Amino acid sequence: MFTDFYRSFYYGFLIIAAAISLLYFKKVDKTFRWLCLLIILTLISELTAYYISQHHTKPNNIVYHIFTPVEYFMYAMIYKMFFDDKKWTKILSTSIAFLIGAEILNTFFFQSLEEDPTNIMIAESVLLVFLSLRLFINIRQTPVYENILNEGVFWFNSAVLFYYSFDILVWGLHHIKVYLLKDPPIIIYSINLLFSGFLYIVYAASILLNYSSLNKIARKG
Amino acid sequence: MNEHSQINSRDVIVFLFAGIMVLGLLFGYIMYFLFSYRHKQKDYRLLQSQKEEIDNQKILLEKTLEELKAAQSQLILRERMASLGELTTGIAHEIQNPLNFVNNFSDVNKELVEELQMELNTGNIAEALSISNDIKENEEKINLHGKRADAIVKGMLQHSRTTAGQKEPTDINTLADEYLRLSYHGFRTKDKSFNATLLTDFDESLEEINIVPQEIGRLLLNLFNNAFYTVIEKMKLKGDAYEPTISISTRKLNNYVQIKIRDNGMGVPQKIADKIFQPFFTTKPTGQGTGLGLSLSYDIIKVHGGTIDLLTEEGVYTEFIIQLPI
Repeated sequence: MFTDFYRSFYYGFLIIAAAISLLYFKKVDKTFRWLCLLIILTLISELTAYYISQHHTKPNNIVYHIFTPVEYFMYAMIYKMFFDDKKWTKILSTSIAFLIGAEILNTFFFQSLEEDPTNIMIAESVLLVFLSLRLFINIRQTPVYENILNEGVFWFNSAVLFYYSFDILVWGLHHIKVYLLKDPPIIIYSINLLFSGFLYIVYAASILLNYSSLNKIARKG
Repeated sequence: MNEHSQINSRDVIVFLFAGIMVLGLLFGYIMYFLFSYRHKQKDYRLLQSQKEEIDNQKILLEKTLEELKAAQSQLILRERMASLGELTTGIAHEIQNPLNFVNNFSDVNKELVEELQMELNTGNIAEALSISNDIKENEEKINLHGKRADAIVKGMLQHSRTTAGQKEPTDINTLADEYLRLSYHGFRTKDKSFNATLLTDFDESLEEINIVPQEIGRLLLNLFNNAFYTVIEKMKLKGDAYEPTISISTRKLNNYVQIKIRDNGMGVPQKIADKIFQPFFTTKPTGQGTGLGLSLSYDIIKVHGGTIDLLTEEGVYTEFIIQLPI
């Protein structure tokens, strides 16, 4: 199915993360259930994109045009629960509306359904980096966790910060330029695939950590 | 193609360099976060333990406050009972009058009934009818004075009631007059030789105003009792040359009713004039005053949305000016 190592690495970790998401969906708290859904939905979208690329002559970019706003919606729901604040619910709702609007405008005027929606991906990445940094500030303001390294929220947020900062670099600084090249440097995509694989496996780990934290709390009574 | 390849490799180098920079920065940020989190956690734990301590203190304070409120309620009740005690002699005097009427008229009626029976036996119907009319008139008087006694008892019960009463249209002139007499008779019962001049100047144009009558009654009683107390004290000092006078006047002003209660007693020294409305402040000897009378009066006025002011000159007079909104 996936011939090269990087692709196999990414899809392999994504499948493992999706399996963990399915198994632990009911055992984690509401915030992490949204993360489980996000991972499962990512797998579905990747499989759909792969199926289109294999069975249709048209490019599979349409999947990413649809999936990017949906993915951001999922992240926004996760952050909404982490922030648990009316002001942030409003900000997140506005940002969802903004991203959907931007996606429509981008499709009509800049990047059609046959191109990658990199503009939207960049916008999504910027928003997520911002949310991630903000959540770190919030966590620091109320340091309630006994050991932050054992908390799913820390690893999830770190993964978001690392991955989407790197994503801005990939899609923002060079992808647009590389995309135009006849012989694009494959290493950029390979690194991106590696990072994506790590992202989902860290997500899976954060789900397991959340389950473990809930178990500890339950045991303490 | 060659040109493309050159751009390609340079881009890759830039990309990798930028990527390493970004990763380095992020790693640095995460390290900083972890370090500052640990640091903040210590402060937070300290803060939490302080918060717990404050919460415990708060619970303790709330408990103390509850106890204080209970004690305060108890004191207020005691004050009411004390004023009721002072009222009792006045009430006894007030009830005595209608009771005398009831007893006298019932005695008269008893004799009239005997006469009526005699007239009926002799067949003198005209005289019998005349006697029966007299009996009827006497019965009406008995009924009237019975109702008067009933009203006094009801007033007394209202005075001792612990729950807050409802506002109702009340004739402030009647209420003031009634409590002035009750207070006066109360003092006269204690000391038969005590006589004071009571001056009333009621504004007859005053309509009924919405107040809680038992509360305002309690307030008036407090002020009258203080007035009688101070004139008695002055009488002890000045002797027969002194003529104790208590006056009350009511006036309808723009949007409120003004009640003035004045006595020519000892007056209030300026240095304590500001303190007289404070709870537990009293100039009376130990055991004679709770120090809550004027404080409760002040609260009653506040609840009614009114004001109470003091005008005084030491050794000359004391005047309380009450204003109640209509």
